[in-house]
Amino acid sequence: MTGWAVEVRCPPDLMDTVGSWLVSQTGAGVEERTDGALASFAPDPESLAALERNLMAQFGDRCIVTAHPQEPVDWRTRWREGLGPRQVGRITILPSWDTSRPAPGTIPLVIDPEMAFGSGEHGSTRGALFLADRAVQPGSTMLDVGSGSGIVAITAALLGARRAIGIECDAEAIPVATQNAVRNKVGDRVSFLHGDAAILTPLLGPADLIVSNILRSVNTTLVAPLRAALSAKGVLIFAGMETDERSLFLPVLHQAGLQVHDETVDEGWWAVAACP
Amino acid sequence: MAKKIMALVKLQCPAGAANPAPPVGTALGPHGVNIMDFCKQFNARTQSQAGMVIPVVITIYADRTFTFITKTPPAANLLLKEAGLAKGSAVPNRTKVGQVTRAQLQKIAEIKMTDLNAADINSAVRMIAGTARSMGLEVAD
Repeated sequence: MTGWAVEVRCPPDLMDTVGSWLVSQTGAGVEERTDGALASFAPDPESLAALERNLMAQFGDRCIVTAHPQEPVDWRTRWREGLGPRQVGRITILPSWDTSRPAPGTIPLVIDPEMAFGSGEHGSTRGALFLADRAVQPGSTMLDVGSGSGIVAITAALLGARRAIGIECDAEAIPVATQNAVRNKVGDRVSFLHGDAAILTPLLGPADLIVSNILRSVNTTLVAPLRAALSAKGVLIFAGMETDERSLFLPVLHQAGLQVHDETVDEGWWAVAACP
Repeated sequence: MAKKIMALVKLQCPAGAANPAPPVGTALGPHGVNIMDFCKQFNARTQSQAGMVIPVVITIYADRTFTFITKTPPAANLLLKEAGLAKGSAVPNRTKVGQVTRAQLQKIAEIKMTDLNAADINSAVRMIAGTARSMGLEVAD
């Protein structure tokens, strides 16, 4: 059944008042669009007429109302469009509703885009995963700095790490990442801590693999504490930087006594693996 | 992680009762946001404020993950609650529909202080008083 998209324009000082009035009238949300309009919805012509009438009675000519028919869309599932299996190294990233089989010889990793960065839809995440896949050793220990959804730590565990710990400064990401580890059946080997990576990593080391997928400015400040937390033959991976930042970050690695041994670029995002 | 912001979406939703129907669905869906997860998290965070309208700003990242912050209810919503009214006046200059006291304005100003661009509590009270008058509420001393 077709509904009606309702657009209300009013003076800026009335936006909050009209917005909350629309919510109380319709029982549904209202969008404050960037063009200054309030977007509401009426399910049928009768509701639309009543909304226009009541809006006029309440705010008079201070509000201008326009409406146009809107085809029904089930947004509970439509938002998923464009998401599907993605293969990175030995891992196939799958959304939870995707029932297709992972590519032969790969390990499925189930993850949805939720309230923690790292769904596998971004080049910086995939760059970190790609290098981690090549560096992780069975039975090793791993630290994931800026762990977000936990996707890198979970990948390390799925590929054989005996222990992986994620560190994240956003407290809201911790329960999401923990749930993702449980969903992928590695909850017994992967855990997440909320806190400052510069303080926590030296306490948690030595680790055989450390991955830091953050901005270059943060990666730069973390080089020393992460190197201090690395085992003698460990690998340190940095991601989250665009390709034009490569020339700025390589000297930072060299100054810290780290040698580059692997690199990758995914959709303009550069990731690098280095060793002492 | 290297979070790249793709969009910011501003909504006002009933506390504890957001759902994926329009306009929430139409605002977030085209960005590929997990609408069911947003509604679940928003409702969990705001369920204790049932009956209020909650402004919310959703930050959507390039990998379709998101975060959101909730703000204090709009002043108009708080004023109607304090005055015990369902709606304001259609002609606020001529028809007064109720009254709020200075103490009530002060209470609302304290709630709204974090979201208002006010230098101090007195200027916040003056802003709330202006909203009250624009709704047809008299301010009693």
